[in-house]
Amino acid sequence: MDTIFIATCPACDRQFPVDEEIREMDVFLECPYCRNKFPPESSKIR
Amino acid sequence: MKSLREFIEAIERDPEDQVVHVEKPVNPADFDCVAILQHLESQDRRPLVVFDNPLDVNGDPSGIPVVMNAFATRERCAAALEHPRDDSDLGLSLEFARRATGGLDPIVIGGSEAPVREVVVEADEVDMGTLPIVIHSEGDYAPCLTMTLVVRDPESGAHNLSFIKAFYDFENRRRLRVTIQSPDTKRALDWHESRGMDMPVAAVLGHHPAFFFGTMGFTPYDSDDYKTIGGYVGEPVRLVSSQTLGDDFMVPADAEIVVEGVIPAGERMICDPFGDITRQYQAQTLRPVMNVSAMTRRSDAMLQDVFAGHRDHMTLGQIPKEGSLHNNLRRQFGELIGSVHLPFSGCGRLVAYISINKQYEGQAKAVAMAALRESWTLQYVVVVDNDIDVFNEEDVIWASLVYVDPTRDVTVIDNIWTIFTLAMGHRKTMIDATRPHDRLLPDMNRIPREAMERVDLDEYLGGL
Repeated sequence: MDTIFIATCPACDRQFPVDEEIREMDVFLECPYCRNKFPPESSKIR
Repeated sequence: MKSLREFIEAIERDPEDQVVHVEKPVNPADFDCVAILQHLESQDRRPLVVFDNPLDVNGDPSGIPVVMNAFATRERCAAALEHPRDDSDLGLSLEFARRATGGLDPIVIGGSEAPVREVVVEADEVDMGTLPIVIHSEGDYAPCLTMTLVVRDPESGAHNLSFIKAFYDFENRRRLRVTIQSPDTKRALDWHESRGMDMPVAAVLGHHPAFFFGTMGFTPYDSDDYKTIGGYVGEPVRLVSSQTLGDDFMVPADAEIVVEGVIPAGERMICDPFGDITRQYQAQTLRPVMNVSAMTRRSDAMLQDVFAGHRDHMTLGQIPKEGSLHNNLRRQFGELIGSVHLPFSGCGRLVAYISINKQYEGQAKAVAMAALRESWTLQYVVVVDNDIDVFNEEDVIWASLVYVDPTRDVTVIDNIWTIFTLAMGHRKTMIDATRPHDRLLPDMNRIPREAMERVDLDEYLGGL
């Protein structure tokens, strides 16, 4: 079972689930709605 | 030779089934296909649907029809295996399990004879955006190919096929982002990556449904899936050497479309969400990528797709798991075991209903524990008496309401490995819904058997 967090895209404000394991990694999340890329720390974490 | 088009023609001839052709242009990458399927499903209709004129991901007419819902009913799955439609409950699942133990050696043919080689596009000419790739759910990462991936074990030479998800990559028209869940495919990737080797792969995007069922048969890692698939299709699978992955890497000659490429060792990119089998989104994470080296296809190819998170998806695991679970429990408990069903309400994965010929208290729990051990997707097991039809969910729920004392008949196993992200967390639950032998309860009401046999409905209703 994955442990997840819910990311909120800073560009379109929509939410999507993200694997908790990549929260601390040096990767950009990609919003599936607007394709905006952003680091996990800039996401509003729910 | 059996193929997707041959199956569609057979369903069109079948008076008990239906093929719907959508001739109006649709945009699969903008939810048109899934919206049509959802509307049909809301009317409890699950025909096989051919979208004759879809746009490709680039927004141009693709010239490649999209086929969905090939697996959407158990009766159609039975037809795929040429098994009687009216035996599509446990009988179908047991037939599925029986075929996993057989097999037919494949036949190798030359490229000039192979329908899948009628059109070949290689290297820089490849553009995955020319395919009519379907997006399935609102929050999906991208349009996604949902059929199977071929890998070849370099040590045994065996080919292994499993369902994967391959997302269109908006940043690179020759790349796909790939979600691999099959233990065998993961094992092959681990083998290659531990040696720093790229893994050759081929995606098969359309074939006879029995071909894809054959990929779900439970067989050892080092047995060749093409042989197993032959047992499901009912004839040897015709193979052809790959276009770009070497002569030893074989692909199905009668497929609609084959996409060849490599998964580079150690490379990972962001991928998902995807509305998956449990009707929830799989979380975004890092996944392997596939660099595409060739796309080969029939000149009039169709692209097959699974309606993910719906019955078209659920039967693919439901039917194989029912058969194997029934047989494994029978081996352990013999005639105690009646029937087994993994209902659609549990997505064909999460819950098993098992009926038993109960003789003693505690047998239901013993069977439930064994079931949880046999099938790692199960989160719940409900055990009922043999007079309950496990394929009739209303009866199973009734037994659970009437016979279950929650203080002793519901057992939660805590801190156990699970794969799905559910509110229950790392727990699994067993429910003994058999009639307790040590408590007095009224009998279930019934119509006398004699009366049921004596009364002929046609005699009274005149065939209405």
